Amino acid sequence: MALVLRNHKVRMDKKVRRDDMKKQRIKNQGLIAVVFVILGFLVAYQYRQIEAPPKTFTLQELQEVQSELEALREEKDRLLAQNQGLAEQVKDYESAAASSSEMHRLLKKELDYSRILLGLVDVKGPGVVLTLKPSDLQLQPQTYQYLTELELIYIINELKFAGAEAVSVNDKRISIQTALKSSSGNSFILINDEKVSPVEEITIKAIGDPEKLGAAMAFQGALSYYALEQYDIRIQQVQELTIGKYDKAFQSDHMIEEAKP
Amino acid sequence: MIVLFGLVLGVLLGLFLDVRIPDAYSLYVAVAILAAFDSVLGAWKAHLQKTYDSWVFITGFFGNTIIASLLTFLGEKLGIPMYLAAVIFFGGRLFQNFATIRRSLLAHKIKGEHHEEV
Repeated sequence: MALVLRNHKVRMDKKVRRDDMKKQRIKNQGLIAVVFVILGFLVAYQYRQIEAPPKTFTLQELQEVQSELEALREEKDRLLAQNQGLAEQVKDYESAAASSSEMHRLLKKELDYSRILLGLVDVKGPGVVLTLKPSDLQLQPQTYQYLTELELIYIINELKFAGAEAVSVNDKRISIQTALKSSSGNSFILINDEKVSPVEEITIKAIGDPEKLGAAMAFQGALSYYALEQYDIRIQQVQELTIGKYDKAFQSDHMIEEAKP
Repeated sequence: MIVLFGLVLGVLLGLFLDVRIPDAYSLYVAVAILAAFDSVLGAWKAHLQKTYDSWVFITGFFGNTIIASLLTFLGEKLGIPMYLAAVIFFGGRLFQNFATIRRSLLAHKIKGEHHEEV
């Protein structure tokens, strides 16, 4: 009897030990699985990374995009405000037209003329077309420099002095609120918040008396201002050219009409 | 079996989970992968030679990976490409382990064929 009992106990012991071993094995297998999950993950991750490296921006690009975004946002706000103002204006005119059609006609005429002066409509007329093309870089590698906003401002000023009524640079209308500025180490020149590259050909159009404008440009030394010397400049007098309208919004956040005494 | 399961799960996770390890750590991941491969081959070798031990494998796996990464980090700080040390060492051992495994498997096979003949 005692022997049977002891045998039974031994068998139980063996069973317990076997259970322990089984548990240990499952635990080990779990750990191995974890290890391989990690390995598989790393390999797959790296593979994916190398297959399609994420697009990265340089700091400069990022800043450019950000400033562009900022400018567009401001632009949008301004346009919204302007739109609202115009809607009110239209309402005013409508009531004026209702009271008198003669007044309506005069107002319309005045408005159209104001628009032409402000550059809010496309205009056409005789004038000159200037093309500035960078000359061959190989010719004067030492002293070579591209033009900056200075040269463009100079030309615009010369044209206006000679009586130009409307001027555009690469079809960007020079309005009463336009300013020109080189940016990013002169990699481009901002006109109306749009980019003009000094490396490529620049076209300047001006409406005015073609003779006067042409003479002003052809004047001895008129076009040897700083970097303009490095450019091939062509002056073309034309009997009809079109200059596009200023397509941005004017700012009038600060100025108001002074009341007349 | 469990190995394949783990590997497949890991690959799936890596492919479809949108985790981002910053680009700067790409080198660390690469070195870690090498260390991990070395450990796995080492474990296989040990298994064939019947000296396999789970804890040796797991501590080796994590330890090697961590040390390789630390070495890379140190190298980056000192301006020496220290990760090359890890690449050469683990790469070399990878081949050694593989050679041992190959011999081991071949020995098994020859023994097996011998058995069949008898």
